[in-house]
Amino acid sequence: MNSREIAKTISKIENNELKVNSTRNYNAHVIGITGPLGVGKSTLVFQIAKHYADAGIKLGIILNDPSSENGGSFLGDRIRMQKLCEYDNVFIRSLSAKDSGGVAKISGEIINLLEEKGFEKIIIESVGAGQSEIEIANIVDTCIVVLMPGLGDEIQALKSGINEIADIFVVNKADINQAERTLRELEMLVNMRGKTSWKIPIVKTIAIKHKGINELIEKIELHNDYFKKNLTQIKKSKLRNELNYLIKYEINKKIDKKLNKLIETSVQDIINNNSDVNNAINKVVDKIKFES
Amino acid sequence: MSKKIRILIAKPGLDGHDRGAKVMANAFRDSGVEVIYTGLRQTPLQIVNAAIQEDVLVIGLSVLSGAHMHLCKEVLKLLKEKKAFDINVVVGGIIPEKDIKELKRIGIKSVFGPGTFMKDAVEFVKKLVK
Repeated sequence: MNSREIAKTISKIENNELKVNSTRNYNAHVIGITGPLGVGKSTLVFQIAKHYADAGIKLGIILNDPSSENGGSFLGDRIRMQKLCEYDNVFIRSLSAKDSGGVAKISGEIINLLEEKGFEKIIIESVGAGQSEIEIANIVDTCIVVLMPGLGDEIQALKSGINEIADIFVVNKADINQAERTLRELEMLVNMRGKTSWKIPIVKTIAIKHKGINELIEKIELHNDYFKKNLTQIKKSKLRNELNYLIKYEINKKIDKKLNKLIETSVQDIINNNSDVNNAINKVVDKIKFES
Repeated sequence: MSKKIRILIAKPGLDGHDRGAKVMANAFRDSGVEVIYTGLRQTPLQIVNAAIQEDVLVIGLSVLSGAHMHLCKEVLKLLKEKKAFDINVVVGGIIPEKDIKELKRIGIKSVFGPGTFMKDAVEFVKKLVK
């Protein structure tokens, strides 16, 4: 494996100089890790990754961190991965995610690239996610949602969003107060979904002490088996969601400039009492023509 | 859109004073650069592998331990071995005057000591990769 070549190719994709084959061949197993800020996603990624790396598996890791308004960014997820930097079978890349959705828009393309280059497992970590960063679920095979005790009461757990995309739930930092309560709330949530062919497991971990990692790996592999068995079916729905996201992204990009101008005019109109919010919205929507 | 500038900031060796490295990382971020910050106590091999995988144009090493000669030589040697000597290396920290000349001779692009204006360091790096 030539790391340099792969790294340079990724940069070209990032700079819009290159498009790679954008359909998966599903030879690799892609694992996604998402969850709120500070629950221990990076530490968990490290533990899972180390397990596979030690087993000699060719492993790709994609780490997403947010970027600032000015295009700059401070990508610090790698701090947790230091020990993996000396492995020959591990390739790690940090991405700045300026797009909504919790992962950089090009993440999907990079997964395809790594899969094509023969990586067997690919782990992708999202930015600290709230309740709407669900794009990661469309591009991974096994989606792990990481939570920790004390994040909020049961109502919080019932809210739609990232909780609905989990193939596996992890309650990390399980040695702090109220871990049992969080666990039970999640159990309730999972049971309320009714019978599905995949029962979402809930795994307790203390990632920093390597507790619960073996059980988590076991569940990840079980889900991989399930995924591969039901590939035709799942593939379709993932593809549908992915296209929905990417097409809307391109449309947004196209109308953004036009929109800014129209919004400025509307603001002036409203301030001068020539219009109100609802009127302005209707006017703008009418004005945008969706020619390509 | 102009091409992204990506740099890596790391602290090699046994030296826990990372304030300087973090302050510089923030200064670069604020100037629109993508900074990969890899943290404390790293081996030169970890740093060079990370720089290659992240495809950065510049490695910024922060050394306050006095081991700069040894660590810089090792990083440069590994870059050469891995055919990535086109990645620029700059150093910040407490470096005695007499060592600066030698560091530049072996291939370090610049040395930033105490009292450096952050703006100057950022401008230097940006010019370096133009």
